[in-house]
Amino acid sequence: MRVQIKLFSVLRDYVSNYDPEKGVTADLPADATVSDLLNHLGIPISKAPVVICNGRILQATSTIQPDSTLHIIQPVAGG
Amino acid sequence: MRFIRINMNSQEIHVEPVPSQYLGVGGRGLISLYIHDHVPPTCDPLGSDNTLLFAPGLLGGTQLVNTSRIAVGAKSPLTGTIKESNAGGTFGDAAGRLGITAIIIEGRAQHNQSWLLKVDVNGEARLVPASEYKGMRTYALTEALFKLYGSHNAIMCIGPVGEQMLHAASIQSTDTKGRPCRAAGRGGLGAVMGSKGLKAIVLDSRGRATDAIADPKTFEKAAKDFAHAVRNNPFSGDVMPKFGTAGLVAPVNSMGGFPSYNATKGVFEGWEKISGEHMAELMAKRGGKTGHQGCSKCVIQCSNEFVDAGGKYVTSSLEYETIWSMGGMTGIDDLDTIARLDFLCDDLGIDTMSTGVGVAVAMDAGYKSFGDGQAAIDMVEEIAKGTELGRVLGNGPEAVGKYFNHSRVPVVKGQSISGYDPRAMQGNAVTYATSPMGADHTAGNVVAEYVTGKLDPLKTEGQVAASRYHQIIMAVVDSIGLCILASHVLFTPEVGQAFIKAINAKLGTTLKLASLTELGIRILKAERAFNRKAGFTNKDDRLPRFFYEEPLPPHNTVVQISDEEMDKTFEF
Repeated sequence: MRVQIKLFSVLRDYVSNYDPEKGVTADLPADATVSDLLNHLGIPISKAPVVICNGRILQATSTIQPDSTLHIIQPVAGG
Repeated sequence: MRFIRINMNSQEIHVEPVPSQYLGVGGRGLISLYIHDHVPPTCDPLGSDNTLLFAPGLLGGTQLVNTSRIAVGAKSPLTGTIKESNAGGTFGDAAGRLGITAIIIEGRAQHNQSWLLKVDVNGEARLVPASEYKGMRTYALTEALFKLYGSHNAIMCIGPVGEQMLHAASIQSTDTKGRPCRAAGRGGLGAVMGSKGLKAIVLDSRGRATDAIADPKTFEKAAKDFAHAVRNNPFSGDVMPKFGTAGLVAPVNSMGGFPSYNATKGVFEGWEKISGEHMAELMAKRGGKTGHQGCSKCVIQCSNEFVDAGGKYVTSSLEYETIWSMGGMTGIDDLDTIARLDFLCDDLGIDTMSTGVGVAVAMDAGYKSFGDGQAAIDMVEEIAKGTELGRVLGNGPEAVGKYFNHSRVPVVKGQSISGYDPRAMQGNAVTYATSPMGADHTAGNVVAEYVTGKLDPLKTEGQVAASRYHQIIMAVVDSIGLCILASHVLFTPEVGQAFIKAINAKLGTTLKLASLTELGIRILKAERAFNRKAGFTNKDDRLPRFFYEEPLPPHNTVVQISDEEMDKTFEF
């Protein structure tokens, strides 16, 4: 399945020539999880990436919905 | 460590040892306990019975990083509650290094008098007539004062808005570059300062009178561990240094909780144009700066220097909350306009958040259109001109709502919410409604619990407990002088322990982490007791009706925390 991804903060550094307007597309197996997606993009756990779909924060084991647009952010603690 | 007490009626200054009941407390804790004990809760906030205090944190002036916040407090003319507002810059570190536990401003000067308070490197304080500075905006004022007293000073001052005693007036604070771009913004403390006839406080920043540390070796090790933890955390080590607090625009919009168009939507259409990522890119192109250190002893360096397309300075430390209030709330998706509005507010000495929300209420009422950047600038310039509308705006969003007879006014106890919609983050609904400070995210922001997947932001489960927990922690953080952006690392056991070691090493005590919780609860109880006596009841711990009735897109939720649940927040 194909998913559209927008990356934020330093996570953009993990995709060469990242285009902020277009984001990046990924082709994943049908039952791919959030962990699979992060591995595919090469984003390390040490950067604490958080995947958001339709305004909802996904868990590491959540499966990715086909044709979805995902935002991947780093954690925030408010200010 | 001592109190410097100034009576503005007589211009008498007394230096006294800190009474024993205020030892071991600093910053907000000291201020709240003092106000609870000494300020009549029913006093006129702009009258002579109110007291204005400035207090560095308990660990201010030491080598600990990110612990140089200055707390300012009084009874607020905006909310009528007790109010603490803290600011960054260099003032807190300067105060700590001068051995000042608190500057206490009492009474009020004769009408039309204007004074400044100067504290020299030996900690000696004097009042200096300041009528030549009357009406001065803060940038011109601080430039003149640095010229007169030297650049080795830290200044907190008011602009014309504070002198006019308008309720959203801020107290501006100079940063490491000497710009008055940091603010004790919330709650109209600038009006209190203006009511007392005090235009500025100038502290020599070269003091060497910090408290002796009881166990310097342990303190040094704890300080190192803490700095290491702050730098290695993704939030304080990646997001904040590279993008500043503007780095919150993307996460909050992604979560559908960015109050936009006067809190009628949870996602702002143009948000990517006002995000931290876009600002960093723009500043890199134009020769501006991100990753700028604005505050003493900070290893996060979240500040910025915003320049225009020609590379000319516009403003410094353009923050998430200003981008939210002047951008999302007003529908303005242009960073240059927002930066100009930020500068104007700093220069006039007014809270950017209250001002942006006031402009948004006026737009929602049909006065001007959402997205009209020039209209927003014109409205803020009216505050400077002292026009009728300017005075209304200067008195905060509730005054604007009344003036236009508009019912959608996102305030609690007179103070506006911040850039986290309570309908999309139910825990922040609790903090806004119940904090003794009025709607205030820094009093206990629950967002971290959502981002890390610990709590569901749209459900009611766990929200009251989370808000209570964060409110207790923040009362402690604000008493230590710790920056909120570094405070989250305290939640890991190793760092929490390092921090308690630092406190014990400084004070020569044997406190446990639990003692910090007790301190936080003690502070909150004192604040609530003051508010009760000032006339507030549990009926005031509620959000405006529209938050319970108007679903916020995209999640289309309302605040679901019941009144009974809200009232359980302070069952410690």
